[in-house]
Formats: sequence, C-alpha cells, structure tokens
Amino acid sequence: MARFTPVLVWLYVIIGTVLQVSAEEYLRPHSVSAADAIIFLLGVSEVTLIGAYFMHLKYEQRSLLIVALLPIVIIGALIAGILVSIVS
Amino acid sequence: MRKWNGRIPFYVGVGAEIWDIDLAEEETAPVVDEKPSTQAGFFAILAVLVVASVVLADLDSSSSVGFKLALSEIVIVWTSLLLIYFLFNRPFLLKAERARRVQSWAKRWLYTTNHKDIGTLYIVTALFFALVGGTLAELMRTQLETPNNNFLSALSYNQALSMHGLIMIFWFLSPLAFGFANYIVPLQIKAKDLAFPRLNALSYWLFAFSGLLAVTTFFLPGGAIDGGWTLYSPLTSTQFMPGPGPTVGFSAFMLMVGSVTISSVNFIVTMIALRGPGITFTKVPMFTWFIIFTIVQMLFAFPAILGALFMLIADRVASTLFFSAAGGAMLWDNLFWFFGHPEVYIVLMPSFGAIAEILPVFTRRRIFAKTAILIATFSLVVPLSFLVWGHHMFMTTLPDTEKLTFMISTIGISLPFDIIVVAFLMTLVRGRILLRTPMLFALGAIVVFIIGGITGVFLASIPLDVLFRGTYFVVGHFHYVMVGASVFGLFAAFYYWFPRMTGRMYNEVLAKTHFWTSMIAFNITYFPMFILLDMPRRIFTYSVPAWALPNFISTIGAYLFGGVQVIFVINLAYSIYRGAPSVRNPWKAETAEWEWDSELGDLGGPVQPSMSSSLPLGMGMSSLVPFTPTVKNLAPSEVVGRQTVTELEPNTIEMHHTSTRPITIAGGIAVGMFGVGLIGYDYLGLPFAVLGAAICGVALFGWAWDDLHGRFHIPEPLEVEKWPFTKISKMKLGVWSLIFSDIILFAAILTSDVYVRLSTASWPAPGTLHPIGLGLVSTLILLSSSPAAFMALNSIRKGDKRGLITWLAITLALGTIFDGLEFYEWSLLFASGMGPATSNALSTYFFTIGLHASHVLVGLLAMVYLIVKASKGGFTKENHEAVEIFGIYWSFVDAIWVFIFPLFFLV
Repeated sequence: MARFTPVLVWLYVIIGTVLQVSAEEYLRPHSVSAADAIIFLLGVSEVTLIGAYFMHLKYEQRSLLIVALLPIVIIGALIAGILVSIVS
Repeated sequence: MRKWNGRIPFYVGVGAEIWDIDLAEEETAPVVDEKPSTQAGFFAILAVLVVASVVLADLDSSSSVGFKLALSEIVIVWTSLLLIYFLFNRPFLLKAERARRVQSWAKRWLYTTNHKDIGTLYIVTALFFALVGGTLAELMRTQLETPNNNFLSALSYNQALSMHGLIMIFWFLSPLAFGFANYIVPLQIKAKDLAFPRLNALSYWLFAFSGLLAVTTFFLPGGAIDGGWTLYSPLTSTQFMPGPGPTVGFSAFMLMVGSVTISSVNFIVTMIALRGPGITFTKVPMFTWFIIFTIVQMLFAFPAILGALFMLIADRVASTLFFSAAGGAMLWDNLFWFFGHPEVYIVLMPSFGAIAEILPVFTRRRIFAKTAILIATFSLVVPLSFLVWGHHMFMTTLPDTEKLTFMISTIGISLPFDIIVVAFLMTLVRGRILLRTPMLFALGAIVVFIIGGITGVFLASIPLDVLFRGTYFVVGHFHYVMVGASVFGLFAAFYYWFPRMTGRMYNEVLAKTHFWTSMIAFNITYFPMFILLDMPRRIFTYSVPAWALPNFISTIGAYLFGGVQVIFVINLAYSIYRGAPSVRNPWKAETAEWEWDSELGDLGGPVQPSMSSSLPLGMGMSSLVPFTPTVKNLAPSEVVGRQTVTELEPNTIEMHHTSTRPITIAGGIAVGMFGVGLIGYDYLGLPFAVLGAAICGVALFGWAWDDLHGRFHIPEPLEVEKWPFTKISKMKLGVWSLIFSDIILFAAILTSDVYVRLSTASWPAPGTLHPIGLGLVSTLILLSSSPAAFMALNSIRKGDKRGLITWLAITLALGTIFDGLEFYEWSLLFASGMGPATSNALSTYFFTIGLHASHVLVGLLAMVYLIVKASKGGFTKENHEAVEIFGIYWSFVDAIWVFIFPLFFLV
C-alpha cells in the first residue's frame, strides 16, 4: 500500500461524512430524495473504501472478496423481502 | 497389545490424566462388591420411582406441565438406571477409593476441548433433550387421545407444544448432527482437531446450558413459552405471555443461536483451512460436504433469528416497541422464517450426508452422480433456501406478487432434492445391497422423505396452502421430513459409526428390531395426521367425533414410537460395555475416519494418537484399541499449563488439551441471561445478571491470561490443503466468517429499524431528537480510529513495538471517547424523560446504538489485551496476526456505524 493511501482514505471518509451532514442541512429543504441519495451513495462509498483498505480486502486473495459478496446477496433478499411486505 | 478383561466398572472412564493410571492394576481390579449402602441406594431409587409413578398417574389437568414433566423425567431416568443396574449388576454409589478416578473422569468431560470428546458430549446431551422433548410429545398425544380430554390444561398443552418443537429442533436434531460432525469431520479430512478447540468446547457448553435454561422455564413464574415454536408476535409480548419464564426461554434460545454461530465459524475454518495433505475438495467425503452446506446455511440464517430474539428480549425487558408496533407481527414472521426455512435444510442435510456415506458402503458401488448431487445442493438448495421463506406466510397480507415469487422459488427448491433422491435410488440399482441396520435406516429415511417431500410440494402451492395451512396435514408433512428423514438418517449414522466411536459392535438383532418397530410406529403416529387435514393443529382439545379415531391411533403410535426407543438405549448401553469387539473397518468403507491403527495413529500418518482422542468414548478400554506403553509419566517441565505434552518418539509430540474457560464462560452467560429474564419480576434478577457477567468476565480474563502465558496452544499442522484460501490464515478466515454472520445480524436489525419507521405514521425530523453536531463529532472520532488501528499494524510490520503500543493506545482512546459520547447522549435523553418505551423512534435508536456500542466495547477489551501483550513483547515483525485481525474487526465496527449515523441522525 502506498504510504499516503490510508491517510487519503481517512480524509475521504471524514470529508464524506461532513458532506453527508451538509446534504442534510442544505440540500434536504430543496430536495429530500436528492439529499437521501447523496447521503446513501456517500455512505456506500465510505464503507467500500473502509472494507478495501482498512479491512485489507483489496490486498487479500480474490477468493475472499468473492465470498465476501455472498452475504451482500443474501442481505439483498432479506431487505427486499421484508420491505416489500410493508407495501401490504 | 494389551487386552481388557471387560471388568472395568462402567463409571470408571479414561480421565484427562489417564497417563499415570496403571492399566494393569485397572485390569485386575476386582469388581466392586455390593455393600449395604449400595443396596439402600437401590431401594431409595425404587421408592422414588414408585412414588413418582403413582403421583404422575394421579395427575389431572390442574397440575402444571412442568411438574408433570419433572415427574415423567424422574420415572424415565430412574427406570433407565435400574435397567442398567440389572444389566451390569453394578452399584451406583461409589466407594471412596474410586473417587479420584471419578474426579479424573469428570474433569475430562467438563474441561475437554478434544473434538471427539465434544462430539460425544453433543450426542449424549442431544439424546437427553430428545428424552425431554419426547416426553412432552407423549403428554400432548395423551391429551389428544380422546375428545374433550382434560389430561392437560390449555396453557399446559400450549407450553408442551411450544417447548416440544423448540427442544426437538434446536436442542436435539441439530446438536445430534453436530455431535457426529464434531467426531467424524476432522477424521474424514485428516485434521488434528477443529480449528479453535476452546471455541468448540464453548459452543457445546452454551448449547448444554441453554437447553437446561430452556427446561428450567417450566418451573419459573409465567412458565415456559406457550405461543408455539414459531414464537409468533404478538403472542410473545408480555401482554399474552407474562412473567419471567418466557423471557428466560427466549434468552436460552438466543444462547443456542450464539453456540451455533461460534460452531459455524469453527467448522467452516476447519473444513476450508485444515484439510490434511491430499484431501482436496474433490476428495472430501459426502458427509463432510453436506456438513459444509449445512454450515454455510447456518452462518447466514441464524443471525436473522439472533437479531429478532435480541429485539424480542429488548421488547420484554427494556420495553422497546419492535413487535408491538404496527406491523410487528409481519416483521417477526419475515425474520423468523428467513431463518426458519433454511433451518429445515440445516436439520436435514447432515442426515443426507450420512445416507450418502452409507449407501455406497452397503451397496458396494460408488454413489451415483456424486457431482450432480453436490452441484445441485450447493448451487440450488443453499441459495434457494434463503429465497423461499415467504411460503410460510401465504396466509398473511404479503403482496400477491411476492407470494407468487415465493411459490415459484419453493417449487423450484424441490428440484435439487429430486436429483438427490434419484441419485440415492440409482445407487441401489445393480448394487450388492447388504441390509445391515445402517442401510435399513438409510433406506427408511429415503422412503419417508419421499412422502414428506411430496406432501411439502402441496404446501408450496398457494391454493393448496390456503386449504392445508394450520392443519394436521402440515404437522404430518413436517414430521415425515424432520423425524422420518432427519432422525432416521441420524440413526443410520449412529449405527454406522458406532464401531468407530466405541470400538465395539452393536447388537444387530436388537438394532434391526429397533428399525422395524420404529418404522411401523412412526407411520402409525404420523400417517393419521394426513387424514386429519381438517383438524386445526394448535387446539388443545376437540369434540368432533370424526377426529377421534385418527387421534387415538396416532397416540397409540406415539406411545409405541417412544417405547421402542428403549431398545435403542438398551442396545447402546449394552454394546458400549459388552458388545463384541469390532474389527477396525467393519464395513470396509473407504473414507478416512476408518484409517486408524497403532502404526498410523488416528491421523493416518506417523503420529501417535492422543489418549483422549483415540480411546472410544472413555467409558471402558476396548481390547481393539491399542495402548502404547511407551507413554512416559510426565516430568513437571513437560507440563505446560493445562496441556499435557508427552514425548513418544522423536518428532512425534502429542497433546492432550483441556481448558476450564469454556464451561465457565458458558455458565456465566447462562446465569447472566437467567438474571436478565428475571429483571422486572424479581429482585434477584439484577444480582443474577451481575453475577453472570462477573463469572464470564473472570473466565474471559483467564482465557486471555492463558493466551498471554502460552498455556493453551494447539500445534499447527505443517502441511494442509487450503484451496481456495491458500494465502489466508485460519484466524483471518475465522474473523471474516464471524463478520459475514455479523453483517447479516446488523442487516436484519437495520432493516427492522427501517421497517418500523415505514410502519409508523409520524417520525421525528432529523435533528429534533438527536443533535446532529454531537453525532457528527462522535462519527468523526470513530472513523479516525480505523486508520489509527491501521497504523498500529503498520508499526509492528516494521518491527516498531513502541509505535504499535502508541497507535493502539490512540485507537483505544478514540473508541472510548466514542462510546462515552454515545452514553452521554443516552443520559441526555433519559434526563429529559425519554427512554426506549417512549416512541418507536427511540426504541430503534436505543436498541441499535446499544448493540453497536457493545460491539465497540468488545473491541476496546480486545485492545486492552493487545496492548498488554504488546508491552510484554508478544508481537514481533513476523508474528503480529492478532493485530491485523483486530484491525479488521475494528474497521468493520466503523463501517457499520457509517450506516447507523445517517439512519438516526440525518435521514
């Protein structure tokens, strides 16, 4: 890992969090869905970076990365199943 | 080779400190003669039996089911003891001089971390819980034997019904299968033990204590769980199920889930990373394959119910509003069945694995279409099992499109089972079938599974499900699968591996009698339930005359089915001590668990077997099992803490490993959970909870102490098959497996939070309930701790021990400040009169933040351990895996917060 990579990832995560709060404060009055989308996307990107660098997934064997996707697929089914049932 | 003359009393086992026992003395020891005290004990037991039987016969519906259960247990247990007494003519009471040996025997079984011992413990304990669950079933069937019966009250019946289901599924079937898995899987893959032996022991003791806790609920105020084994909401609320009993019951269930999760991680690491040389995945035996499939499902299915149980207990103890809020019933249904349906396959798969092992051996031909079975199971059954749960909810208000989707996926999952069953049947074609007992039970399991499977396809169809839902047709289908296929398959496994586990053969005549009587009695019990397709399944009595005869027949069948299991117990007890010695591979099987002899040892390599792991069950010395007299008595320098190191020959060091920590931690957790259940009902609740936490804390400290001082160390095998994770250590695989499980747990909880929010009419706007500024500060602090943990790892990678300690201390400080801020915000809310019971928004907030904070707390404790170890020079440039593992866990905790923060503070 390049020497400054963890610092850059940390900076991104910190700035991302501040941007999330900014979206809540300044964007939400104008567009709720846009604010939610930005908050969500920033959150996903932060988690991806934390997983890749601080949890070392980027440097692990590819097989572990593939297996790590398995719970995400299962989570997708769980979330979809539960939240769709609320439509009723 | 030494020979045993068969005269060792049954209660004298092979203790953990067997090394210094002189076998020659044991062999020639006279049979303990009966003394007046022994006879007095015999008559006392007989008196208890008679009194208990008389009282039991005189009970009516006004008596509690707990009392009846206790009396029934007394009758059954004492009867069994008397049988054993007459069979072996041995006294129950121990002479003083035998106490040391008994103590040694007890220490072995209480402290063992050996996979075979733990496997044996699982099997024996599971059979005990089968006795409890079976007794409850007999009570229920007695109540339903005739119309308008009053043997049990409605409440007692409901308790018996609910606990029968829970005990049989979670404390009998799964653990029995995992007893075999514990014993057999490491042998089949030529691993020395499971990857984490102490965790294996912890899993067992959590299971055992949780079961005892569950049974205890019968005797607590409020009684046992009485809302059905599915624990449907709102029946589980304090309104409908008041008292501490049910809460303790849910806690017991939660402990069991914890045990399963730990076990899953252990097994998955073992099977992936500890396969012996040459055991590539293509050479992994079928039983182990099916255990792999089972474990994958367990790892992902159980966290959903763990989350649901957490929320349920929080509802009952802390007055949160998850399942009492609008939509709570549907939320529970979803979470329960997301776990509940895979659980059916979790129970079934080990049985199929055993059948797939047995069929080729007893037909003398290879299993038909092995690859097709494996591909169908792994690519269809495992993933589809997570996509079919909605078929249990066809009668709810699920949207029609969702119901249709679940109908298609449920019918779809029957296809791979068709492949499996056809492959099993094709294996029989042109095979030279040998109808020994394991084969009979395997064939029986296939036959009843076909019936159970076909009736299950009916229930996958929405129109038919509308007709059959909630009737005895479902009960019949369910028991044909769970009892017929699973239990018969595990009986097959029992008889198949009995010679391997005991060194003796069972009695074939008794075993075949057991099979045929079980098969007949099973069908007498459950087939009438298909006829009762218009009888509701959850009623405690009935008055419809047409239901009387099928119910009567079913009850007679249940008595028979329960009664004939005595044949099994007698055969088991007799054969362990008096059975004919078995040859080494009586079935001429080709799998590795049968490769054991004095030259090769248990591992199939030039290693002497560990005493505790090679001897059969520790209940007597078989003449078959070689005893190597070269074992030396231990010099003090050779004893390292709790492990005994004995040098046999150059390059062959064998370990016997035991630890007091697992049983203590599990006991502490059980006491603590018991206390949690009592909180709000009894002043003893809090003291019990604190006592449990203290016991647990001391034991955890001891565990860490053992590690710091190298008191428990299992030697790593020099060469293992690890594909596809060739470059990943077992510790890292373990923590990742745990994280996968934890991801599902948090996903279930966060989804529940969203569900509750969407079900609630009005929700506080961001910033009104929780100050965004405070949330932002705590988030920035926590997110800054991940790079600090990363820098700690970087430091030790360069050999900078001071840097390691400094960065770990910074991480610890940041984590502590974060948790402190969370508790500060809690205190602000409490100070303004707001708590978990105030609103749905605060329920979800307190619960989720609390769960996350507890994860942070675990990380903080781990950090203290790492700092202490680092200060003692425990990490080097080359040896610092624990720091890396911790960093992964800590970053995971941070990543979860990235979702929690916006959910509660911003959106």
